[in-house]
Amino acid sequence: METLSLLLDGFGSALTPVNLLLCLAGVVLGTVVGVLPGLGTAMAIALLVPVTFQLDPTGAFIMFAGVYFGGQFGGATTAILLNTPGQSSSMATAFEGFPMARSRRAPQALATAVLGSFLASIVAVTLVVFFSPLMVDLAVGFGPPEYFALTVLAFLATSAVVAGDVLRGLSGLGLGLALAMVGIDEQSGAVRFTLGSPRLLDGISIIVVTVGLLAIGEVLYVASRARRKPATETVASGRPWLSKRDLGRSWRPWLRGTALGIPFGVIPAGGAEIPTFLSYGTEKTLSRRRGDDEFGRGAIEGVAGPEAANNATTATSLVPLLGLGLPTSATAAIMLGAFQQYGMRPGPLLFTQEADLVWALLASLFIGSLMLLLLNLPFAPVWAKLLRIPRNYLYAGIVVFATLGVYTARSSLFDVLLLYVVGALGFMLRRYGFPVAPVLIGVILGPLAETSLRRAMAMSQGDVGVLFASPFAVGIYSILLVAVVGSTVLRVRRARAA
Amino acid sequence: MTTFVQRTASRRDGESASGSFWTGRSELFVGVLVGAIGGFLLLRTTMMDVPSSVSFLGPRFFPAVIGALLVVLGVSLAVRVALPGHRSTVPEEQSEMEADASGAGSDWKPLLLTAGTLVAHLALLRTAGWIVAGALLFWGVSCALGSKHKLRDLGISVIVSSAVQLAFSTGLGLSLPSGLLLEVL
Repeated sequence: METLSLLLDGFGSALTPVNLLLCLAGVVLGTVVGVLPGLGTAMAIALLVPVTFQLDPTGAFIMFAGVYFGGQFGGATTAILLNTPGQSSSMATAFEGFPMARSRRAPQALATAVLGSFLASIVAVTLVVFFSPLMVDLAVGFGPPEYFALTVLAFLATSAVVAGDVLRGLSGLGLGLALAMVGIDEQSGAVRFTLGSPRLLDGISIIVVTVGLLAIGEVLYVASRARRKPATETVASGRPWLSKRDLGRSWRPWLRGTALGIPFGVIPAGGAEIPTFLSYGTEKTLSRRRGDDEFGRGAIEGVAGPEAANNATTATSLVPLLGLGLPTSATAAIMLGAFQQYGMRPGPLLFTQEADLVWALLASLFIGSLMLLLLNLPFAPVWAKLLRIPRNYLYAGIVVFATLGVYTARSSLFDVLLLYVVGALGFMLRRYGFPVAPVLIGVILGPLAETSLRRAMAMSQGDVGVLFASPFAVGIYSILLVAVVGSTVLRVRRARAA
Repeated sequence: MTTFVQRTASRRDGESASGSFWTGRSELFVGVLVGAIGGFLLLRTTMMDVPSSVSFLGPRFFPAVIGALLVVLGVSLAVRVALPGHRSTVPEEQSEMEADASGAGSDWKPLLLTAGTLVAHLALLRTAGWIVAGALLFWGVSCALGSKHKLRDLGISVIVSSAVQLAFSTGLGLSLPSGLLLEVL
């Protein structure tokens, strides 16, 4: 019951005009980047962090959360209307959504996607509200060994288990960790890898790294692929309305998708792609078992399930992010970086010291979901028109915005230089298919991993056993072991089959 | 023996198509870079000044581990690419196939134009000021990505950079470099 009263207080501060406006700005921006292919929510939030530094943190995070949620809603629109998923988590939606649009069922596809997204968000956010405090209770007893175990879990899960290629994933992680080590070592005061430059003593700012990797790297990559033409044809569509029959076919996939998506937010599996494909697969199998063969020609179940799944995952990824400071996707990693920029550390301390912020943020998720429902249900085809913006202006604008954000954060030309250098690195990684999430997680969690390890060793006077002394740490390492062994077995089998 | 034959055979195939051993093997560079960064970490770690107060696991332990890891990964990446019979496993191969036949690799012209714009912006930001450098940044990237109306875009660029200058200096109170020109005036 305490949770409920805290949440009500949260609604109180989220419903102020300023915060409502920021929430609206966030969900609109999120929908825009969700609709536009190539722009992700991670990039949008990375670009917003330096510019929103003037705002009070509560407002800024309400806006970030709006972007995070909006991206999932917007991604479906273009996947359905144009077969151009705006986000990787909407790829599964396009499989059935686009055939539906071609057979003049675009309004129904959009409606089931938006309603499914809304339903999943509300269910998952409710779970977040009630589970985050439990996560916090668990985390109160954590010391350096447990935090070290968590960082190892995040590192290996994103780089070795989920990434398509272990070598590339681990290399990305290593590069991220290396970037994080530049500057003065906080514990000993030793100067590391600055090459004598006093400008690097404070380290490379997380803003520089995230904006460089995601925004500048992406623009360079687009430039290297400039000859490919974007799709600009918009499919006409009518009023989104679900008939009783469509509703009857949709509600079960919505619930199943939500159920599939919820656990994936809590484990560091790199975002919402896996649950959306799982949900798509489930719906396809179930429909075949029922004797339908509509799949492939526009089955509404294939839109309803994956859309619910990706929104559920997005929402529940906030549980480990807020409760433990453990990011489970690239966007969550950027949000964690933003907390660090504001000098806050997610985890038990956040819930006690910044309780107002946390509960306002959680309340704003309900408000944001409702706004997204109202923005997307009637206006989805309007959003799809965004694809008519010439791409060169869009990317030129991104470069200008990225440069501005980084320059004004510290009024440093050197930071802009670093931004472009990191951007070149980002381009190289993108060009050769290296996943970007491990790099981000390495940069953002690297310092926590190192400090926890060294504190743990100092506590135990150099006895390695301290790392495995608590049941929680042992549990984490066992999960990790199972996941690594399991994924290796799968990989070997697939390689043999190929 | 067989590997030698295979390699010469595949090399000949490669030459007849569009290049040499290096075709499709530019990823070798990434492996070398990753390994080199690892080597750099190891080298600087050994040269690091460590305060004497440090007890267990000083500031050198973590960099040494990561450095060693990167060296191993870099070598493995390079070896995998250099092995005969290597097929580029880059996931976006499908998208490369969508591009026209000549576009197997990167499009160098727009890429270099974009990179050149970034360098020019860096050089001009302090001296010429934001309005000029920012407009150049917008215009350069827009042209590099295939602008159809270069002159009109120049106008748009100046409007964008001026609007930003105005919004940042009066709205947010953040200062952008005004440049020597305005300072002299």
